[in-house]
Amino acid sequence: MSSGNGDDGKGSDAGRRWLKRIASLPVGEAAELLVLARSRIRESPVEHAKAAADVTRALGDVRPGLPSDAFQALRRAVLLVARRDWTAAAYLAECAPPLAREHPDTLDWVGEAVARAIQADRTLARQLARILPGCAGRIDDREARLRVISALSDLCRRFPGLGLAALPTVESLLEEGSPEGLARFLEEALTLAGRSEVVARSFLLRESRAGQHAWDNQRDGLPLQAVARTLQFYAESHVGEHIEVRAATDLPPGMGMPPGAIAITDGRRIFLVPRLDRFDDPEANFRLYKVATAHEVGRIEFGTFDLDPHGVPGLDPIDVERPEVDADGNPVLVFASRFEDQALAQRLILFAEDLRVDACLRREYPGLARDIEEMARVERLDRPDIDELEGPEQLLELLARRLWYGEALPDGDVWRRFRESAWLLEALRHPGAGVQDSAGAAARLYRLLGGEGEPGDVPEPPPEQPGGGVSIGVLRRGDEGDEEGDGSAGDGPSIVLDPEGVMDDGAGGGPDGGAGGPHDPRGGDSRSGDGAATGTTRPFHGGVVPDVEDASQKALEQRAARIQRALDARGIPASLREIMNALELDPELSDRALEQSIIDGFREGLRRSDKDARPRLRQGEADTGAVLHRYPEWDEQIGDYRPRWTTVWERRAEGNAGAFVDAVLAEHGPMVSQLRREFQMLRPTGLGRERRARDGEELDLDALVADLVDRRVGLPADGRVYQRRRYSTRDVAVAFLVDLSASTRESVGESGKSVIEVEKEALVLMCEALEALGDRYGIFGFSGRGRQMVTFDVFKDFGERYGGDVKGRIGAMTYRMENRDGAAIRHATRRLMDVDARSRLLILLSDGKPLDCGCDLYQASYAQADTRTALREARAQRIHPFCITVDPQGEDYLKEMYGAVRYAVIDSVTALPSRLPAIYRRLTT
Amino acid sequence: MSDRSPDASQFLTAEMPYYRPSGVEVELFEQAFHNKIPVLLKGPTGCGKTRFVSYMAHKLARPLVTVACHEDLTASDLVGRFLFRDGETQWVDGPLTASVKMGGICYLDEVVEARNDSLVVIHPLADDRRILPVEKRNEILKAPDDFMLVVSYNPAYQSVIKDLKQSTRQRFIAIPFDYLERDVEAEVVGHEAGLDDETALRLVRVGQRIRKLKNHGLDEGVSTRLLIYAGRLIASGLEPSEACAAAIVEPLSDDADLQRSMTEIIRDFF
Repeated sequence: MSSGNGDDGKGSDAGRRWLKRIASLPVGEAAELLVLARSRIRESPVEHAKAAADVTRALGDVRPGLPSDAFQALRRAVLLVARRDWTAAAYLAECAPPLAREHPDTLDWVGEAVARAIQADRTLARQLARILPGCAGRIDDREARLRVISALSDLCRRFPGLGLAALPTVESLLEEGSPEGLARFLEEALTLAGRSEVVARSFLLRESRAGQHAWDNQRDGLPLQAVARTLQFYAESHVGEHIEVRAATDLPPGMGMPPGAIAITDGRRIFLVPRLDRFDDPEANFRLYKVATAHEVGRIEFGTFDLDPHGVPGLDPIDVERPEVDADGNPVLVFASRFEDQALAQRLILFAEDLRVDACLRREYPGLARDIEEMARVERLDRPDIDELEGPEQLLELLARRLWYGEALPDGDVWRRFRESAWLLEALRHPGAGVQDSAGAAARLYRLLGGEGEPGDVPEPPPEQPGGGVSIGVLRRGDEGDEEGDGSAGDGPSIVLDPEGVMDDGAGGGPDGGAGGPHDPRGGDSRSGDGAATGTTRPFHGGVVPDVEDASQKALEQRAARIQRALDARGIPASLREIMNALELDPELSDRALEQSIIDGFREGLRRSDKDARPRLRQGEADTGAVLHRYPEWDEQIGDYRPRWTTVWERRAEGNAGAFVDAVLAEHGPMVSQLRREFQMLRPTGLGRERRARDGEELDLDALVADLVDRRVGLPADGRVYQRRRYSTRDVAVAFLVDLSASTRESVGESGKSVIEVEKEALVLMCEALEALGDRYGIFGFSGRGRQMVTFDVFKDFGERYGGDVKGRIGAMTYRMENRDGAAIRHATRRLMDVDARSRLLILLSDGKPLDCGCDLYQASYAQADTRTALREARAQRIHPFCITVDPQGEDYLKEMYGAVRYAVIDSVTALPSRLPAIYRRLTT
Repeated sequence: MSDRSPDASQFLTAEMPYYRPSGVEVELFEQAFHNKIPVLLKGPTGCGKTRFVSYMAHKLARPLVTVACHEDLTASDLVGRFLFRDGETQWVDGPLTASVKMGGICYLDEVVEARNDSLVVIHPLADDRRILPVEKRNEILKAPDDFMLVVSYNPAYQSVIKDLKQSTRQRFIAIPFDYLERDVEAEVVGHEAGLDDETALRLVRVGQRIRKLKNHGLDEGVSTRLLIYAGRLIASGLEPSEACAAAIVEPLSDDADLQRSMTEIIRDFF
């Protein structure tokens, strides 16, 4: 097996190891592998020896742990693949054992799928061998499993390119949705791929709107997205303040929901699981969302966050040092931090608060009580098995069952304390109970459940009161009488659960006077374990987290700083603010992608810029601060939008070159005054007079005389003898959107002025005219590079006065990088829609074709189709777009690009300054 | 040239309108009347401003002339004009002139809707001069002691363009109106709709929850008027959810998400 090349030593080594491995295999298998390996080992001994060794080792390793039929299935699949590719076989041998154990019959399918993929693309097949067994192993239903395998297999065999793109996402898709949904989604993609691979690719990666919709529809359950706004309004109607409803995936790292919980709040926001599929009926899922939202907002409404963590009656003054807890933060967490076992204390106060808030909600909202009841009934079936819980969790579960469903606590002396303490919690349901009472009860329960300190005497329950109401005054009195714990271990921790007793009692015991819901006889022995909340006593009683804004801000800052350091190391300066903005907007963007985008922008800027015109991106943005917006883009090829595809960075332009404006005004002196005069004339006079009206506030004397004369001579008179005033107003807002792409630096005509300079001149004159007219107007410029960085500079905002600052900025306007017209038009449209005006105009000043050679190609028909679509969108919002271009060769594509939108081509750029005001005048009168 | 002035009797209300005072507004209004001070009522739509004025007119036994103001309302519309009819010109009093002549209450509803230049005609009437110049007839009417000018406006509508000029505002004393206290409003809704106390209270609590959505989606909270409509529908046998959908959810918004939220709020109570 040795050869004469340089890898000799290694090769022999691997070979020897392999031989050793083979020696450890049963004779039959070793022989089979040897035969398989022989031919290829001859061709490329080193590699194949290694790969074969890996396969052998992997097979050998898993053998002892697998039942024999599972191992045989695995071996068959691995050998099948190994005939074509050793590496893929090695991956399969490594990744497939769990699948073999669970579903041995599936392995043949997997092996077949990988083997067939090898014929299409070796790399792809190796990836498939790694991913497929894991995915298949997670699908319980056999039919669905086979459907997913065969769809993936088809995809990889027929469209290897698509397979490569899609494979990495399959796992996450499976996590998000159901296997059947995944299978359907893949099958739909396959059908699409038969027509166009490009369309199918965007579809699979869910970059196209169709892909996103299809995936959303395939998934079971109700997506939060569909109801978030409704729930937000609903929550706000409880408290009358702004409450954000967000997906739990927005929780900053380090914070999460208790397992099984649906909602959690930080006092200002409510986080909900991104999708609910507990019920088949979307209405029922919505109901569950609503109940969970109501409970979380109930915490805010009924004062959980008003807790004074230091003013809790009966709380030991032990202050445990917890530097990580913000003393001014969430009071519930501050309260919990005062206990040795912080987690337990938090569970207890939340448990107490859940009881109190739930009672408040039921009392206040009788209809909501019905919904809560319904959800509680379903939830009861999912309660964890008491036997599988331990320690405080088990005790809490008992208490929860006692309080929520009125199940009896076990008999026996050791349970006396619990039975007695249940009323302590029961009292929290009284209308007079407040959050401090919950905290007091939690502190007491903490000791009872085994926390530090003397449990103290559980106060005697007051005499039975009809209706279950227990006066809260009694609770307080008991607390006052409590002595400080001395730290000695009492009999609290020694409580030992007697499972026999529980089971005997729990199922049989009826509700004994609790305020819980109707008793469900199936309650005790329902299915156990899966999905049961352990961090909370009910899934729709999530809990609280610290204010996430503070936390996520911190995380964001750290990430931005990391990126800034990375950029700095490569000599690229970028402001922290800028990076943070980008991150905030697009959290999915990887650090690398963002870095690259900034680097590209920076380099491009350097290459294009003069010595003084530095690229925008390196100017300190700390004070101007870019605001980021995302827009979809139309992809003509796939015939669909790519949602959230472009990022527009809006920022205030900088510059102080007012001298330019003065020079223009001086140069065009006579024209300026003529313009001002002309536009002043357009100004509405305010009142017009309509004569010979049928109706009006005054008589029109001339008409009246004529009318009388007509009547006298017997002619028919029409009675139009009034005059009335007509109020005319001009309510126009216009946005000038200037293309600042690099091509505008080319000089034109004999004057030697560049396109951008001429455009600026035209804008200066336009400003003079508009000031005379009084229309509201904004001046914006756009450029950028790549879809993630379309810059949108504000030279003059609509409400801004045309003064020295604006003139300075316009004077300093200069060319930058590329032009991605679609995104800029969409943003200008949005800006215009924010202005309250009867007519809105969008005037696009460009020098030609949209072109963005950033990381993806925005050019030719793609760019033109997107621009056309963006203009159409503007028109759909009743904005009147008008495009002015100075490309004399433009006629051919302009018609195509601007479609139904009006446009003008100015063949001699130098004519622009005089033409622009004339065009504007024509448009608005 | 002939003269037409309206007959005062048609502006008198025969029956005492139902009004549930919630503060000192009745007393304030009476004192303003006796002291010849014009009154500005401000508050959201449908909270009882107009009802209050008719109640006071009845109480003070004065004819009430109501003008719903709008953008095209001119000074002539208020004062009067010459009309040409049957070969001769006739002078017709506008509502303002008519009520000055009758000595009644002239109520300009939603006064911000009128243009500021039309409103200037009320200025001499609304200060201690208490005169109304009728330019076209070249005469000046002196308002009798029992004439009173009342205007109303809804601060929620305030846009930049529609705001009362200070010179107009500062001629009035102002009585603020707002949605009533829970129990009082329930009493009103119960009375007007003929509902039992419990249902009326639930309706009012629905209203209070929805009002919290103002500026969080709704431009304006649900009015007492709409709650009464809902109540009447319920009283005549409709399901509360259907009655509220027709009288509350649909009139307030066309936004599907917002409608759903309101439906859920209603569901919380019914």
